[in-house]
Amino acid sequence: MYFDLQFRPLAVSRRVAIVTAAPEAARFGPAVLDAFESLLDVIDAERDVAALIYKSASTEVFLHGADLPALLSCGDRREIEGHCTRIHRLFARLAAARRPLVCAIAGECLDLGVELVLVSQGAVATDGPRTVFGMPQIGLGLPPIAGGLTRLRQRVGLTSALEIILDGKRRSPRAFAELGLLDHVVRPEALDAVALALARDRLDNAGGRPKRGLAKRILGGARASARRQLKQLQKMRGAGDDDSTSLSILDVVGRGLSVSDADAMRLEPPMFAELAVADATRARVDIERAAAELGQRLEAADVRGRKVERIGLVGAGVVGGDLAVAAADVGVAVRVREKEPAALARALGRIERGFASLEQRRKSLDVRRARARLSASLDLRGFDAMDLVFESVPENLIVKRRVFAELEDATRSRTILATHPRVHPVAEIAANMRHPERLVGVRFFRPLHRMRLCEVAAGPQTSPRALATALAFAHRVGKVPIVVRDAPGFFTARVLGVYLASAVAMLESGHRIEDIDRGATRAGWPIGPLQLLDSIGLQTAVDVGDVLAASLGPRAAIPAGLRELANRGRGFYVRSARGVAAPSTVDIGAYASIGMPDAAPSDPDDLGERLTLVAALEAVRCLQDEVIDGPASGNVAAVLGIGYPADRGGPFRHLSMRGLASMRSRLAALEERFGPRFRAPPLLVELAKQGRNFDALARGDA
Amino acid sequence: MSRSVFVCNAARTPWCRLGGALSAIPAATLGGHAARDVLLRVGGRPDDVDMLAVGSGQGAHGTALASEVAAVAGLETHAFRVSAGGISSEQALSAAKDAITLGRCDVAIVVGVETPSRRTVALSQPLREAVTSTKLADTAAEKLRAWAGLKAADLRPRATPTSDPVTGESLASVAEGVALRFDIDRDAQDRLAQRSHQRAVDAWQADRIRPRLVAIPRPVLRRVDEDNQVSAMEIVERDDGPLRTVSERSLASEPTLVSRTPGGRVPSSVATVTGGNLAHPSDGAAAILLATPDAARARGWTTLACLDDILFDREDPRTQPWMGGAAALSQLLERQQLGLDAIDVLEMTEASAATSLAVISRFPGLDPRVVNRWGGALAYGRCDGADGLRLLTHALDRLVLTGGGDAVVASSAQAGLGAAVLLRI
Repeated sequence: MYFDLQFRPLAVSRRVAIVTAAPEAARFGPAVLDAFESLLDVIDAERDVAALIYKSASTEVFLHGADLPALLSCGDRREIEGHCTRIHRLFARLAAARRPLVCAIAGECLDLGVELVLVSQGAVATDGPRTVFGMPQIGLGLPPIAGGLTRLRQRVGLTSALEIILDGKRRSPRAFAELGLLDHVVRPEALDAVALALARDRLDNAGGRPKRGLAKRILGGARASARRQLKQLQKMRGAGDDDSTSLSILDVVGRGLSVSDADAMRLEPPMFAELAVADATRARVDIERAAAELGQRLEAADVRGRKVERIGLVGAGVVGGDLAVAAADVGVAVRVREKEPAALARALGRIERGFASLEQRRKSLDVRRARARLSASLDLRGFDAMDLVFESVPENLIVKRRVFAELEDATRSRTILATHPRVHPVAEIAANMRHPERLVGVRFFRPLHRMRLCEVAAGPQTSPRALATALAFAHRVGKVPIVVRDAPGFFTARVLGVYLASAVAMLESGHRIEDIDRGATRAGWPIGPLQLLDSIGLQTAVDVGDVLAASLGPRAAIPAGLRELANRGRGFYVRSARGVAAPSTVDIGAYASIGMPDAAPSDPDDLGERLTLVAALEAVRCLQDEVIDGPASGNVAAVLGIGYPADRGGPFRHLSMRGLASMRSRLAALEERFGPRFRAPPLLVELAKQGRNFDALARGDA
Repeated sequence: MSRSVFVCNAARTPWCRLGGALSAIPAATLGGHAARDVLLRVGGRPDDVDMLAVGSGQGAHGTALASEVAAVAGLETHAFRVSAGGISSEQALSAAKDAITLGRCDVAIVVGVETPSRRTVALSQPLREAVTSTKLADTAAEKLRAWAGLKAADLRPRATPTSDPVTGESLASVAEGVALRFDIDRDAQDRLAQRSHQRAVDAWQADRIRPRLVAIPRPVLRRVDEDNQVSAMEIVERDDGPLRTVSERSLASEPTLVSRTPGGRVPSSVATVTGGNLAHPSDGAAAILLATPDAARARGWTTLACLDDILFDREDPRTQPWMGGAAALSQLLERQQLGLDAIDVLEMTEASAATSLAVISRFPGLDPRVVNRWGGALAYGRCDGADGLRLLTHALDRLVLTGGGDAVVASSAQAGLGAAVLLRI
């Protein structure tokens, strides 16, 4: 049952149909569409039904969007377009119906949800913590499906419409109400009553929603000004490196402006279908699917972890502090230990800022309860009651071992201990422990609220229960956990380390800083490698690199120039007074430090390709060394953990798409010019010889 | 049905002087930190607790103080607050003990909290009337008229009085009266004050006090740090009262207080009470966790001591002010048929050296070594609604350290109120 239908009296001899969507109808797939269409037929048959209210049974989700995996699995472009046209027609039917549609929104209202609001004649939302609006589909490279582009432009003007569609951010109900997309934002208890009142009101004023002010219509909706705005936008966008999705969207908007709105809407399904079959989109969707599967696999696991209700944090730096906030937010009690009052104060200040920013995004009552779950201490008092204790002290083997010696004394044997390793293997950290089976490596990434990956490393002695507990906890705080083998650098730090080392090597061989970074971002990395090095901190990079080089050899070795630069406390970019690297200003002094005073301009795309390949090859070597359990988790880890271009779908998919046989010859050419960094790993050679690729490996083909 | 009640754990915040490190922290936050910490010490969860009893002397906090404490501590339980001046926390303790004894609940947290730094400031009566009239007025003209008769002096905020509700005397004046009546000289008072500081400093040095303390984060001035963020924190983790620098000489040089107070009726030639031998007001909160032995066992908690008896008594504040504790102690000894020498640990109020010495003088044969061995309010400061639990915490730890026996907390307060608590291991 996807929908529940009820009729209620609305006015004299008039009734209202109330459609309540079950959680299974949160994504509009073919079956849900069938159900909804037949529901509308039933409602149409009732002559005295004068209005329609759409709401969700759950207060977590109103409507999430189209069922993209199902939609994209059709594969064929025409099929996808047909499906879109169907959704499109359904929404056109709702928009044109003489009965007003009123949306009563509680929970997440995303993508198609927003489009439903656009075809409604009235919308009311709760101010509850879970109610958000947005079109995150753009993150996968997909535009609105059901005419949302044109309708949003009609309603809020071109600039705001493109902002909502292109940034894909989630917005508060207030923000949507300010744009005029919602009639009311109310407390949850008032939702139904206000929706009924809205329906009645629309009935009385049969003209639909009240007209917007004249000035707004002229400024926001008029075509002439929209065209002007679009020209400016295209000019701006055209100059930058832009992905095909935004360019297509701008193109369709431009064509839509010269035809009627109805025709403009008809342009949208073909655009969606075209983008949907693009490799980049499929790659992104596959990553999402693989990430979801990792979570599901966890729920089906045999070994149940310990239920985590309380965690202790020993050392709360940036990641620890963010983790405290994230854990408290999902209902876990958190206790922080720092030995020095000043360090504890810093940690608590950082955590408090985390809560404050949560508070800005959400209702305060929720955050207040989360705050009550946090406590702090200068000693390990109370830690014996913890289910899981995280250590995130500085990356120093002696310090870490000392912490765990202390923790073994202060906690009971059932408490799972977790270390936050950057490169040191868990086994090394556990070397002196009485019960090394309690220790597991859990690595989160910063900024925690944006980085979805969590790398979990089991040492040779780690118990299955400890591993399961860590995985379940990571999943609980909303992360995608992958299991990696306990080896220096694990997966992410190893791939990233080799990638960053090769970027510095490029610099040493005479390429410009801005060309290297630009090459990477053009290839699809979210941030250039040198800028990333600046934000990680060069000293940290050197420390990590040294440990990596000890096990991986010269390809991970830190170039002498970087060491020099780190010693001088400089970076690749000029730091602003506030201590933040200004991304635009290259620090000229860096060239001298690195011993390369005369860098010459070069082709960024060439550099970008090489950088991406270096990372991909290291990922292959990780698979070969069984650091990761398969290409699928490698793809997820690379995209979510180190920012490997998402539109390539991760290193293994990237290499497979390019064809392993042709990759081999390309690599041979690169190796000749740039050295063993590009030597094809045996696994790749082997697969290429057999005429297979990594996808086949993932499917387990013999 | 009568069930015994045990103390499972105890915790307290640092005691910080009026206007000191804790002055900006609301009572509910202080109390909440203590309550949460005491539960964490035994590894308990919020749903283990059936009752939260909060004692607080002042009228400063809103009526919802107990619920606010619960919210800060993450407790979702029945919560109430009682108030009886300086014995508020004993009053809360007895309410919780009775509820457990009578089988109404199994586990309770008792919190005592006092924040003199955040004392309520009241409006003058004419200003209060003007505000009310404005609220009730219908027209703008009426609203204006309500303010017509107001004088500039009426706008001055009024601190709520701290003098004794029965006699109207300030604590300093009370102490002078007691010193004269019981013939306690300046030297004796200063010696007690010096000893109190010495003992408190020694106890800190021996690491007797710190293990019970909850470190309190306090927001400090907003400033831009390396993260470009505002609102920094500082950790308060020490009592700021006990001072190594306090000596008999430094105390002797303190000026007397009452001679300067109008209506003090004590000429400076005979005045003996100084800022040095009178306890300063402090902010603080303490919490203890009570449970029946069965409930503790079921949750895997260890019990520290049996909370055997609590009783209250009163002395006439006109003749024996701040000596109610003596009456309560006598009654307790009688009821339990205990001799003075059977008491291994005695903790008592030290609101002033004079009243404290007067109480001690009522019990000839009392070994001074068993009294306030780790210092008293003369060093830590006086924190009315929370002092009872601080004394209990010190008594508990002293008793554990001596290997068991009987410990008594005898508290005295304004209006002649007194309480005595018996702990047994």
